[in-house]
Amino acid sequence: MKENRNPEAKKSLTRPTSRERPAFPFAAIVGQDEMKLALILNVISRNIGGVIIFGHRGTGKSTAVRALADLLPAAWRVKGCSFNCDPDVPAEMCEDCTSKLAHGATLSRERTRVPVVDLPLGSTEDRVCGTLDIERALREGVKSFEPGLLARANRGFLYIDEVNLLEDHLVDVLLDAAASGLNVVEREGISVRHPSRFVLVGSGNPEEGELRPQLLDRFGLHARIETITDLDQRVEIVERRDRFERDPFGFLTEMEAVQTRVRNRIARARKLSPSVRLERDLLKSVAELCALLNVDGHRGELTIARASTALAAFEGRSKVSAADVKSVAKMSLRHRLRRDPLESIDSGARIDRAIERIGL
Amino acid sequence: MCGAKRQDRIDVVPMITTGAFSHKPFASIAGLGLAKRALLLLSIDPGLKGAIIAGSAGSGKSTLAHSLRDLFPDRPFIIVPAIVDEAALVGRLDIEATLNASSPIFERGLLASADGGVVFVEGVNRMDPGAASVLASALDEGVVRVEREGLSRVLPSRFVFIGTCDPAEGDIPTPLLSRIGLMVESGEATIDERNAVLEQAGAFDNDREDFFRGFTDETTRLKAKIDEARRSLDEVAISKKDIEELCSSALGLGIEGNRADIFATRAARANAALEGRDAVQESDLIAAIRLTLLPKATALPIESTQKHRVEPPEQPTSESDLIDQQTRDTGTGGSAAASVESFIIRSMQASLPDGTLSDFRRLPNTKGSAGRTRLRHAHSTDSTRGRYFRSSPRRGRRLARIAVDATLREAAPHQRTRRRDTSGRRVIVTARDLRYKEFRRKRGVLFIFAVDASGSMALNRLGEAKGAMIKLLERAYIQKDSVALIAFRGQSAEILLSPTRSVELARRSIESLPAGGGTPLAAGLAKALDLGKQAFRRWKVHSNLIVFTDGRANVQLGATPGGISIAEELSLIGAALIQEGIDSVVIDTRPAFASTGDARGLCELIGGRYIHLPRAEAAAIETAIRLVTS
Repeated sequence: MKENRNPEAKKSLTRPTSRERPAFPFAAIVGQDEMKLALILNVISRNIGGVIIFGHRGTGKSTAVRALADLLPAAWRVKGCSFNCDPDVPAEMCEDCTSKLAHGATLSRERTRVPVVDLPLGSTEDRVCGTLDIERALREGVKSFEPGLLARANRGFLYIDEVNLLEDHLVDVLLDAAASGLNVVEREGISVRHPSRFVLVGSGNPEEGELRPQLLDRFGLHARIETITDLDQRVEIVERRDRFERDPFGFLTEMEAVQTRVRNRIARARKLSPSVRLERDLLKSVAELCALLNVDGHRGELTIARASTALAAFEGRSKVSAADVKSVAKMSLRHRLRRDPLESIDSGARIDRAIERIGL
Repeated sequence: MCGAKRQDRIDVVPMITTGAFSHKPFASIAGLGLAKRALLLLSIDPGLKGAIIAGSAGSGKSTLAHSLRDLFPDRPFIIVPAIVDEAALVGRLDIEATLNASSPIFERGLLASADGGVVFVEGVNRMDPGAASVLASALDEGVVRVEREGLSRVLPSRFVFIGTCDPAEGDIPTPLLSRIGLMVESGEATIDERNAVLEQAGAFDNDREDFFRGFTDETTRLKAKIDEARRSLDEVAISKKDIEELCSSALGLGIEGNRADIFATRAARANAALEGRDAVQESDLIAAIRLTLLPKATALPIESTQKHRVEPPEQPTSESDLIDQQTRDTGTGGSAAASVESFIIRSMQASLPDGTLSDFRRLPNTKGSAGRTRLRHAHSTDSTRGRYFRSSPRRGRRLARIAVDATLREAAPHQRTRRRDTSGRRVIVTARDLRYKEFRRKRGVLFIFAVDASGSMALNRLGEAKGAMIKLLERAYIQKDSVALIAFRGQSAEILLSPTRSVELARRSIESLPAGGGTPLAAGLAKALDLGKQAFRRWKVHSNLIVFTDGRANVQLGATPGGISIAEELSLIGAALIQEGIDSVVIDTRPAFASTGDARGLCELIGGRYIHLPRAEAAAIETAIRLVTS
């Protein structure tokens, strides 16, 4: 009943609406390997904790995130559930689905695409958290909950462009949800809690205002993106863009083979990833690296472990190598180093040096 | 039972001015050759996204912008005021209709109304960063995403943007700037052009209809030319080598990202189409560089090839000097980049009359120290300006605005019972239901660092002062304050960093702070006073001034010999600072054993507080400053 009320909300759970242009294919993005890898690793392993992409304007940050939707695998969900509940994981279901199960009902299921939900700047709190469904309240006198973006993003990706410009108040809401995996709404006489487990993806340019340290720390990976200086690559970018804009569908067809290869590789990696081993010795070096760099807490080690495991799976190996760890160390730690005001050296270079000292 | 069909109000937004003759015909506009070309290219290829015309007041930029209607006839032409709230851009709840229909009715915003047409902003540099970002993302995606006041929509919003700006009024918000393809100076009009404008003005005011009729033929010809160019655009060929030329120009000019490359390529092709060519030639490349790359330059190619730049070069006195210097340097350079440089230089020479380049310097940079003005600070919620972010049952102290969505939500569950006792009205709202909008707005403290970068400071631990500043800066960030940096040395003071919240940006400009020369303390303080006044005027922000110095002023502000003394000068500025409510703190950087009490004397002169910088204890300074300024 409910899902018919807001057709656009439903559509964005599946495919882009016909009014939106098709997205530029991920496989056609030139260069920016760190950003692409960070995104792919998050698709392979959802518990890496998302990625913040920081860097120059016009370098394809949002293009890459929007291209991500097409790489995401299909998934099952409870039919008609506003929170995208997974029919196979009762422990993570919303109150509705849980109570239906408790009453012995069987939940019918449907195929869906993993959602990539946009949180545009200028959103208000009621739309982010969800609120009283005003129409039903007026017409039927029933207090019911109208789910917001945090509901839509459950089990999917939540994308915030210009995340450093986001209203502080909304940042708090996001931090609460990200920490607990739950969205708790207590407003307008409504009391709802529902699962909201999303992979947070943000992008921005730190020169225009920085991100609050608490929010920065929430992101598993920090990918840095810079203007490409290689002339051939730049020309290639211009030419591909041009081809895409003249004939988007033709370009998609042209890229389909490469795109499918990436998609399949990710699908294989997702299957392989749970069985990938990370040996104790290597894990110890990871801990040593974080200690040497004075990284607070354990999020640094955990992120490196998860990201390197996902990378090994992406490479089709069942064991994490030292090279895997090295490849993900920078993006896992860059934003977790304590800042020394008198030190002008780049955090990436500090990580490189520490890796060298440990002899990884 | 599946709910009502969504009702979106889609009638015309009142901000569209619809009078047929409210603007001057494009064909009638005298001069402004390059700016007119930019608009022609934009109408041939809307993929260029937009054009910004920069120029001083009265240079005809608005008239030209308005005349764009001629090139987009029968399309929406939406005038968006520079001071616009996000709700007006993306759309909002229609209060009246919602109450009448007793279900939420959405009122389309300006961006969705502009779909298929033109958005015009006068004074883009006055736009709020939030509103500019919303506009920028619509330009990027071709849709508006609405997630507010209980409404969730994705609406098509494909438009071209036209904006004007007076570079003297500040910088263009960078998210917007990087998404707009074309940028041009309106430049100074020649005497002949001025005369033509005057003659026309009379005719235009006398009888507009007649005036338009006079240009009918010309306008028809122009439209035919554009149509022809639009048709042939797809067929215009551009060689790989030409694209390379444009890309390396963008690279050499220090422009971030790849968008500029794409815009330059499009502009070159559109220019060829306009000239009736089927392949891009050199003049098209030059036009493209002038319109898409040069205005966004953050570096001159010559600078990027010099590895060690000890001192910034003397400011060139005129454009021709600079070009001469460049030509010479290119001659001796003889690198592979030389051809690109000469390309850029030729584009520059082809550019507008004298003074253009000095104006370019005032144009916003996408990077660079003095190129940014952005304030995001501690927020004040007791106001109706800023961004509506949530509702509250508390009424603000001043003007209160009712949050209709939240009020209705509050009232809705009671409707059944209330309807029983009152008849006729569809929704019954009582005082208890009222909810008010809470707004957030930038407000906070601006820390102005005025740093003595004279020769004597180099000895007296400028390095430690830098450390203390960076420490303060990081703290300022957490407290959501902003910072600005002024350095004084030699004969004058210079704003190295306009008010910003970016630690990255500030750190960079502090780290590269050069030292040497005399101590023009008064000039430094006077700059700080200006900045503080401006910050208050523009953002209602209170300023704190922090002076790092060893206290020996030896360069006067006033040039007249026999005028007032340095001390008198300083106390005058000090009085002005106090009057403006700018608190000042002087940090003495001389080692204790060498202290002559100069800095302490300065404190007395300007009525500030005194802190001695203990050796290498940046953190202690930071605490001390916090204590005295809070």
